[in-house]
Amino acid sequence: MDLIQRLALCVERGKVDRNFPYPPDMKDSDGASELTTLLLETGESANSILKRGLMVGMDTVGAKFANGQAFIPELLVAAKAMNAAMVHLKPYFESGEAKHRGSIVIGTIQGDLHDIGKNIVGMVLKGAGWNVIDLGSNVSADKFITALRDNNCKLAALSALLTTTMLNMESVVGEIKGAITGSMVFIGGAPLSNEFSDKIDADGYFPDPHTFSKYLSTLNT
Amino acid sequence: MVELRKRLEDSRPILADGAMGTFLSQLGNDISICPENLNLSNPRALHEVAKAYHSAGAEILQTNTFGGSPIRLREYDLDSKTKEINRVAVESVRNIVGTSAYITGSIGPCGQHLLPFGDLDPESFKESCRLQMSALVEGGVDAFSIETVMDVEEAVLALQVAREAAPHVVRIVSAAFLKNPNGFFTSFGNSLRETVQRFYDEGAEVVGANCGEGMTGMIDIARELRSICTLPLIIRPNAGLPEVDNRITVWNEAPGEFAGGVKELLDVGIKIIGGCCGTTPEHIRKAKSVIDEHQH
Repeated sequence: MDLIQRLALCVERGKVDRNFPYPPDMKDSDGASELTTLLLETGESANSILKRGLMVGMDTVGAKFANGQAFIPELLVAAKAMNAAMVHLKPYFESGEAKHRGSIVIGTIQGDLHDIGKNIVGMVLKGAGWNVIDLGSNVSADKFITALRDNNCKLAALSALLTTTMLNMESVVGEIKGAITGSMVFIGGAPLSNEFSDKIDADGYFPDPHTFSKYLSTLNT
Repeated sequence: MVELRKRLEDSRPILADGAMGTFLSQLGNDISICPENLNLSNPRALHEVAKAYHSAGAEILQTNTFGGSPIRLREYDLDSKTKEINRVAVESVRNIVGTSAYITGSIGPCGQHLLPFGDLDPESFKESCRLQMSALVEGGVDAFSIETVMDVEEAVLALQVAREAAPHVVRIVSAAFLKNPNGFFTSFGNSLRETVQRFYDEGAEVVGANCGEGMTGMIDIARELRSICTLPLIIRPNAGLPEVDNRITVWNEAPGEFAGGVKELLDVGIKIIGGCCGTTPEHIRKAKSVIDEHQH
């Protein structure tokens, strides 16, 4: 297995760095952090590390999650491993040497402070090569609109966990689409459905982050 | 009224109450931000809920403290009020029911993930549990209801704190299971069998399931639980799954349908039956008639 395949495996299994105690069968071996440094030292480009290493690992664990073969803990540690690798890649993205697939603004809807689901979506999208602008929880339509304008971005994803706050989505979706021509607004969260998405005129509901990420990769952004 | 531990030993089933959050909302309370804050701002709402479920026939009433751990209250800058929020929640119910019903202190997931998956260290979590549990005990709870468990490790730590801090208080634990092609699992990937075994090993006195599934799924869960576990079981289904109708969230499993499922749960031998999201005093009243009929 070459270095980049090992990196993909570390992301998939959630091996953050050498000292990280998980998974137990990878104890005392290099993790995503060390392998990324090694790859950069050997001349591998940041783009290639992202695409052939991190994205492959996140894609594998994301697919397992969508199939019911992996659960929230596996996604959380995979994202931790990916973030540990991204620390080393950040300067290359900042200098423009490496490029994201596109940008997306995400946040939990106004009135709702739950952010576990939204965070997981953010992690998976980062792992799929997106520049994720995370506005946190309890986000108003105005905040979404400002962030979309500031980042010259047309994609927004809204999350709601509560059956009470999901009702705030309709007005937020309407305001964003009214303010930003050509914008697309997606929704996710435990109580939502395709029917609800249609009803509030959103551009789609996705039951898990992997399905969402796959869909986004089909868009021309 | 005999002590809850004694009551668990006799052969008669126990009816618990239905939903707290969704029912508070139906009564016109704004629970979109920190439902537990209501305990301080409007304890009358708690009286209203307790009265409604008690008169529907519930023998166990739960407190409005699902998110009452200091870790969770910190999100709303209310962690300094942990003691008051939890104590008042119990006292408000006690004022209504006296000793004619048992009170269980609701303890939901803390909202953060334990190491190594998240960043929460086990000791900080245990300390948070200890603070919430001691306030519930001060208020006079009969049992802790560690509920909607998603991560078994979190519930295991909570059970350890409960055993150390208040061994006289009954320990009830119920997980939220979801069905996937390989069976029922928590969202953290704990299988039903593994979950129950861990709860049993850590001294749970009643185990079971709440939330996650409506009545149909819960009957399957109940059968599986009964086949692998000798402890008294608790089942609290949602009233189906939430749907939005004309900007109002509704649960379409009517009280009558819910009661139909209750009969099956009794046949399986479930000890404590109540409701979770979307259930109302009407669901509990209908369940009560089914239980009464079943006893004759």
